[in-house]
Amino acid sequence: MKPEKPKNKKALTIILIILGIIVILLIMFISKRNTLVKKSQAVDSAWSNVLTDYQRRYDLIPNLVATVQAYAGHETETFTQVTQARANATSFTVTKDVLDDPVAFQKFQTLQGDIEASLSRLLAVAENYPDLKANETFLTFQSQLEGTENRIAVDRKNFNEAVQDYNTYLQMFPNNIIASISNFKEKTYFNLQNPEAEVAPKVNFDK
Amino acid sequence: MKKKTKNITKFLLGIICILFPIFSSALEIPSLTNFVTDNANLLTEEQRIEIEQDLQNFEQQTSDQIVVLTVNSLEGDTIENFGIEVAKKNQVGDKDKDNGVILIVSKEDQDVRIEVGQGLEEYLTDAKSSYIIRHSIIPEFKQDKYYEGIKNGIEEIKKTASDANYLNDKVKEDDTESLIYGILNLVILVVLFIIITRRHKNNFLSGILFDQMFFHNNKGGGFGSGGFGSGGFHGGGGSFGGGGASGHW
Repeated sequence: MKPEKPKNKKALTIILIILGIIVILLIMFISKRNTLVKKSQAVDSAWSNVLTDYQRRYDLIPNLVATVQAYAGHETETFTQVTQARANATSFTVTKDVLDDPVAFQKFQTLQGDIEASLSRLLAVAENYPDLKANETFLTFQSQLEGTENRIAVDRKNFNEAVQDYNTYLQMFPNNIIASISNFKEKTYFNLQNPEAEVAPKVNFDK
Repeated sequence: MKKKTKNITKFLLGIICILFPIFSSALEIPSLTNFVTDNANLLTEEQRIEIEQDLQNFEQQTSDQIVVLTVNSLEGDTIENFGIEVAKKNQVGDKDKDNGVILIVSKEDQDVRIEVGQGLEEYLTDAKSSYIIRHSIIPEFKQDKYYEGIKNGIEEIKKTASDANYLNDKVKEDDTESLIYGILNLVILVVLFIIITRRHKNNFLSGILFDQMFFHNNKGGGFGSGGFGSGGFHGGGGSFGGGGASGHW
């Protein structure tokens, strides 16, 4: 009986070492996976900020159009374009899957780009009406629109930064293995190069 | 000969600009250490000190941080872009209240902007900021009365910001969660560490565990410091989301 004891002890040590390594790996896995979840949530929250901004713009458009219409009633084509672009964009349902679907994401960006383009035409039209340009209601809506456009620009940039942070982390070893096991995918960036989306209707009537 | 050196310098500068996009950005984003940073020299010494004391008092009363920055030129940048970069770098306002405001004036571009922290956006709205710029600041600036314009603008900003109340301070759940997670990890590891070291004096394994322990322990920390210095200005971690308004005179 006595000579068996050291053998047992050795086996126990090996088992404990293996167990320890497994525990360390498990903790590493959980902690890396949690970081992935956190970074993915950061992207989602940046995305929801972008959506809030776009919603804000949807809400502003009817008031802005109505104000311009009161002074420049016969510019019907411009108004139709803005209203149509807004209707197209709002009828496109934005689900969370948009972020994982590059085609839908591109479509979403195009729709928002159309709104931006039509709004800059509307404000260009407004430029031709001095009474409108001096109207305090118009100036209020205009400043709200400018503020919204600026928020969109800021939040789109923040979104891209969050995506970059997430994607970089995801691609690193051994995170890429953990990511593929847990079904984390790379996310798409906002295309800031798209000229229509980039040029915000920035107006300065005092110039 | 001279031309050649010039060309080479240009070439090298070009390469540097390509390699380091940061260098190619025309305008350096200033670090604000005072309530008034008058880089364009629009104010006299007395005027600057007066406004600084006013803003410092206002911070002590309300915790709102209002700062003024004047620059000579934006060097091709837009004031909106410059504004958000200044805001991000200096984090004006309290970390939990996001109650910072930056009044930016660019002399040569004749642009002025009020950059509003996220906590004040509800009160100092884009429309209100624009109204202040158009009615209180620009009329003075048009007559080169920079002190009066800045002073008027600040008065209006202060009035509007005073309406804000901070009952709904942000709750930072993330911090607590990671702290709990960190502590849990720590407890598990300490127990394992004790068990293993007591039963088997395996230095190698306990060394690894000890490293892990430290690694996770570090994750739990990271508390920011508040921004309530005396004298100079120090940003308290406030965040900005592009709210505010710009104007041109």
